[in-house]
Amino acid sequence: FSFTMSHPYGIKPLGMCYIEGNDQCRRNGLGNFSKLNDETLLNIFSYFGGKTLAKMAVISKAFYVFSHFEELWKVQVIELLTSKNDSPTINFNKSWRSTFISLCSKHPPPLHNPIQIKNFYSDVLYQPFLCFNSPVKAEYLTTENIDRVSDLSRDKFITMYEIPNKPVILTDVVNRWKAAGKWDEEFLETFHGEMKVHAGGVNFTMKSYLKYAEEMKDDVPLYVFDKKFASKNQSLRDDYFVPEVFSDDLFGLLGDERPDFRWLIIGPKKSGSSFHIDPNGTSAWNAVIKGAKKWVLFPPSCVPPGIHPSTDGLDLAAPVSIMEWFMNYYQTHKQKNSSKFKGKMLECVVKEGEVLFVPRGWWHCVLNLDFTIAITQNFVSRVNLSYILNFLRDNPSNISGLPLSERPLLYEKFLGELKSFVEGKNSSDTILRNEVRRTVENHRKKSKTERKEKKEQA
Amino acid sequence: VKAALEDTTDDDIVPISNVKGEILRKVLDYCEFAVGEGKTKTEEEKKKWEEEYLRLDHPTLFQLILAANFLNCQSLLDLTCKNVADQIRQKTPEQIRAHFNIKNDFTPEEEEEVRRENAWCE
Repeated sequence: FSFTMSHPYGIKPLGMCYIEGNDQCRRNGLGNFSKLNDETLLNIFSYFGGKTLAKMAVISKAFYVFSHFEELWKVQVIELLTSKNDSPTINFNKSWRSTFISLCSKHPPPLHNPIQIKNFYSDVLYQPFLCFNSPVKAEYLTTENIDRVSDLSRDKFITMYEIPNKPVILTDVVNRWKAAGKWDEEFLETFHGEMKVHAGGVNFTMKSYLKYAEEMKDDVPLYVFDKKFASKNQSLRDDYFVPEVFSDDLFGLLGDERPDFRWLIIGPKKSGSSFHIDPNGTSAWNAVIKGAKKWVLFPPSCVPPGIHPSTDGLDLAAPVSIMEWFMNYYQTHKQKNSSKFKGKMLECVVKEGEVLFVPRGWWHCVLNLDFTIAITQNFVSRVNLSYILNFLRDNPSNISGLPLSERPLLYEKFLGELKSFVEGKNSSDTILRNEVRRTVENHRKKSKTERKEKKEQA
Repeated sequence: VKAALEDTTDDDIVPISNVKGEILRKVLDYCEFAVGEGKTKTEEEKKKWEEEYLRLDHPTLFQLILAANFLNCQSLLDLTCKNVADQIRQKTPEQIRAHFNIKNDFTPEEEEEVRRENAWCE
């Protein structure tokens, strides 16, 4: 393990303590607190507001280290901003601690001279630094086992991929978007710099987000995931179009009452999303306009190694970050080639100009390999409609992208809209209308039979 | 405890050797309250019970934190950690060092630097 970068405060991983053999900094500097482990100490520190947290720095060198732990300051900044009514935008200023000070005092934050703390060892406090500076290994990127196709007709897409529920990459669509070759950091800053964007529960202007992406050293970076970009900004909306094979949009029948469905995604290198399944049983497409994304996917029946969903499907216990998953599970699984996952893990790197089809129910995690700009949409089509109707009927509490009060109503509302669509005099797309009619009829018949069976069993 | 129990059959004895008897009693008091009486009480009554429950000397409080951590009792862990944080918040740095047996290992120059950077707090 040859890692030559040194931590800004000079702290080292726990293993080095056994080599260098000197634990006094922690024992003397924490006193009675040295009995507690670092996670517990961070738990205690998490209850301090910003000013108290800062004051802790003067107590001892060990307290200084905890007091400067960036993740604590990130929480303080986010709490401070979300408590304000006018949802102000963040102006990130080199570090989360510095940013907090900027928010709290009229004077600019003082120049920070990091004190070098010798002989302080902690895996917990060292981990984010390690994660941020660990390169994405070449071994993580070599496997490509997802089909790449061009010139794919809708019929071929449906029979070869959508019905079998199998991922595929289209290579010849995104490069026809106006956004291709046009959207980059400079373009976004110059022409859309003042646009408000949403990232990780807080608001930035596009310009201030790009500054954050440039300056930050987070091991789990905030990334823009903005569902209102197209409605806020016609110009951005006009720079892309929905690929024809994905153009079925049955939730569109709900108009303004539809669940969230399209997002602008912008993130720095190593930002990304850990394992999840997309909401409401929908399928998705994800197109890279600039940069590149590493994807790992597992089919619906196969929970990825290291992931433990709760029985009600609402919570997910997973390693903290995608990089941790790669470091702890990816390689062991591949080496073991255990039968449980054999042949099930699909991987690819989606490059500029490519769009990936993510079939409904598939587990996936995504890692940006560079500063990346992408657009994604979720959709209900003639093919996945029956699956989604079952989902809405049976799992109303797992619905997302809608206000809580509207979730139990979605199933009936959607059925109502489908009925109007099927019966409508509007003559566009009779094929779609017939497919939808058939699917809804089958769904109703099955629902009726299942209800009858349940009653008889009871 | 639940995790340990899941690994054993009904007849086995579950070993909890890291936790002293009296501390384990305290943990069980909390758990019993949480699943029993605690469910019927108002927020105010609960807070009162917790205040009373946490009237402990520091060594016992720390033992309780360690036990809650070992036994994976998250709500008790959060409660006790918050309590410690509340106690710390009220003290000056000198009081904190004295109370918790902490050595000030800064040089005068280093301490001055830290104070300078904290001027915005005052």
